[in-house]
Amino acid sequence: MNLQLAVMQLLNGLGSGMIIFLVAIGLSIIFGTLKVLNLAHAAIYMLGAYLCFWLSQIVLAHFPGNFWLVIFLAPLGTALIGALVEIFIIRRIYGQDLMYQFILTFGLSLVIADLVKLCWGMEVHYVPIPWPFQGSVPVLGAYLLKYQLFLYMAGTSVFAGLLLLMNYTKLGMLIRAVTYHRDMANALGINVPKVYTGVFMLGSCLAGFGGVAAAPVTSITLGMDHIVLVQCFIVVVIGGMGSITGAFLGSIILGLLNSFGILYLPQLALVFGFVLMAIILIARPYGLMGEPMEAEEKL
Amino acid sequence: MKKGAIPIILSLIFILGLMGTGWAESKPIIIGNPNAFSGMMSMYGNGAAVGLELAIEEINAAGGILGRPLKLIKRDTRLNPEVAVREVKDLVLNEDADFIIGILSSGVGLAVSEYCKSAQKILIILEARSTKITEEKGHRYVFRFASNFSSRDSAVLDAAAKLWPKDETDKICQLNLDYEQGKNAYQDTMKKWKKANPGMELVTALWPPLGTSDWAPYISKLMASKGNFLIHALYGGAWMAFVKQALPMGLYQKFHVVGSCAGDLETTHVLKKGSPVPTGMVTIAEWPYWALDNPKAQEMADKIMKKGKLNYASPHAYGGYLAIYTLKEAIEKVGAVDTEKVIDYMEGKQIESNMGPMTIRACDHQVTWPVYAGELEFIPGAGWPSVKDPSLPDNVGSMYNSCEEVAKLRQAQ
Repeated sequence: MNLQLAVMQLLNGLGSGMIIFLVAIGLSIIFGTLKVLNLAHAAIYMLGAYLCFWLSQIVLAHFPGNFWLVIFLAPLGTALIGALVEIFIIRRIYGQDLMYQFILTFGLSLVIADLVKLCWGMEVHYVPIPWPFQGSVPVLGAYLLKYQLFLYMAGTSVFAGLLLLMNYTKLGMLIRAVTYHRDMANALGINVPKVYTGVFMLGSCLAGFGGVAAAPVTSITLGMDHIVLVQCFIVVVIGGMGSITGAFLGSIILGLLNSFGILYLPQLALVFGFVLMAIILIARPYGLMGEPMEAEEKL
Repeated sequence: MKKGAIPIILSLIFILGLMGTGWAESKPIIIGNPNAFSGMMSMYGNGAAVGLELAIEEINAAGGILGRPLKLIKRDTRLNPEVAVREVKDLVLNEDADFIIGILSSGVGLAVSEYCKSAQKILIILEARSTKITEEKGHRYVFRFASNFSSRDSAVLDAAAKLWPKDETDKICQLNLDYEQGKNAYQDTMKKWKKANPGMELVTALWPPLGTSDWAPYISKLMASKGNFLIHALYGGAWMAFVKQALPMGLYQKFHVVGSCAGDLETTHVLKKGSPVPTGMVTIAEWPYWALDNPKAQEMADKIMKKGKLNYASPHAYGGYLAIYTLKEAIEKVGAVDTEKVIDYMEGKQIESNMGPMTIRACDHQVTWPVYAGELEFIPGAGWPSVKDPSLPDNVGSMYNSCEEVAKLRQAQ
């Protein structure tokens, strides 16, 4: 394997890692704070991609630069949907058995998928790569999609933004307080239900953003959520549940592993993620940057 | 009149009336239609159903078959063999289905075919294309009114051999999804291209898993290789995602590309001028009604587009239409809805289509569907891309494995 190929696989792997990060980080945050495993998260990502298609190709089709407007609108849309989902559905299962969460959120993902089919049919849809990221840049004699540059920027900005939010703002402090000890936060007058809704909205917003970012380089089709869901879970597990840095590192590792793995062991492409997960769990059972979940003190 | 005559006359009228209503309320002939009606393959299920519904509508309007109306019952297989067999059992046992027509996905096809064999019901496959279904695992009750993978491979390779010189297509790369369909495509195309271009060598074979949406690593590997001829069997959304990423990376400048399953109208009809389309790649067109000399082809296409409210007419719809009309002819000629007699009638039968005659082969019940191939381009007047100038190999029948080969495969079972 020569330098050109190695560099190309590195850059491609980073790009796909960024997309996985954008979708997985929402799941990780929701699980870290709400302790809810949201199986419908990937369905919201799919909704984000479809909204991107619908808004940019149909509603705002004649608007120049419509993709850049949609990249704000679609995540707003998914955030609102996330709020509705949290208030009317997820609220009912806080503190319940994990089984209830699985069944409820899984059922929700099926409902969302069918609603998507009802609204936008069953064809494969397509969103063009937006200006100014069309075409490719030459790299060591090969060609890298310019859009990958956008993905690097988007992924790292979201990562940096979330770290800033969590560690340097009051809102972040509230979220961390609620994550650490819900009852104590409640006792101190923090409006916990509001924080929960806010975090769920944030997670859904990020999932929608991931959908928009992925739309120009993937096929927008029913069933795209299943493909992504597994990758998300792998990242959440290996990164440590609730850890932003862990999710970022985990996504990059997974992206690079998929990218280089197919060079050497193409027959094992299906299992790279699972093997990685197994290795990391053996070495660090709580993920790369995770900590043992504190059991709520029983009063 | 005699005193007792009136009750006798009334009874006779009553009995005759009953018999009359018996004739008027004929039991419908039930066609079970299991297919993918949800999920990412649902456009194929609906595509085929349009043809079935159109044929049934026309036949019922003309009085049905032997005075009995046709009724279509659709069931969603969700592309899952277990679900499909359950639905077909329900159709056969509870709905009294007389014939089963439909099926997408070779896994589903094999499972349903086994059941129909034991239930002794005719299964007509419209979309699942694995040769196993009619060859190794073929049996008396299964028919296919569509091309199979082997014929698609023959079609594209034949077109490639005609279009491109041997020295530009001798270093081949293979890109196939890592499951049954991809594996069959690989073995079949390797065998056939070796015959067509004996100087060929395999540079690299890649096996992306089913569900891959990130094609960049595979494309990079292909671009870094020494290949000049790419053979792939990608289809649907996977193919569109691949194309989107491959075009700006220069893949179609480096390689001559053939895609034996790409370019189907269910997928390409959404591509408008300006979308990324790899014009110049060779792919298939299984019913190029826009390029055929026969005006009946366009008429049929218009009927199908109107019925389905679509801007394209799928070959699967036409296959369904032909299947229903063939069954009609068979039932009328043998005089009853008798599975065994209908099978005997259909074996070896030549059916007329607007692409010329096709034969229902007696050895494996595979219809010799002509698979056209050629370069992908936008079709004037249609708004979407497909094969503008389709060509056929000289001998359509030779696109399919011969009956001797089929017999050998079955013996090896």
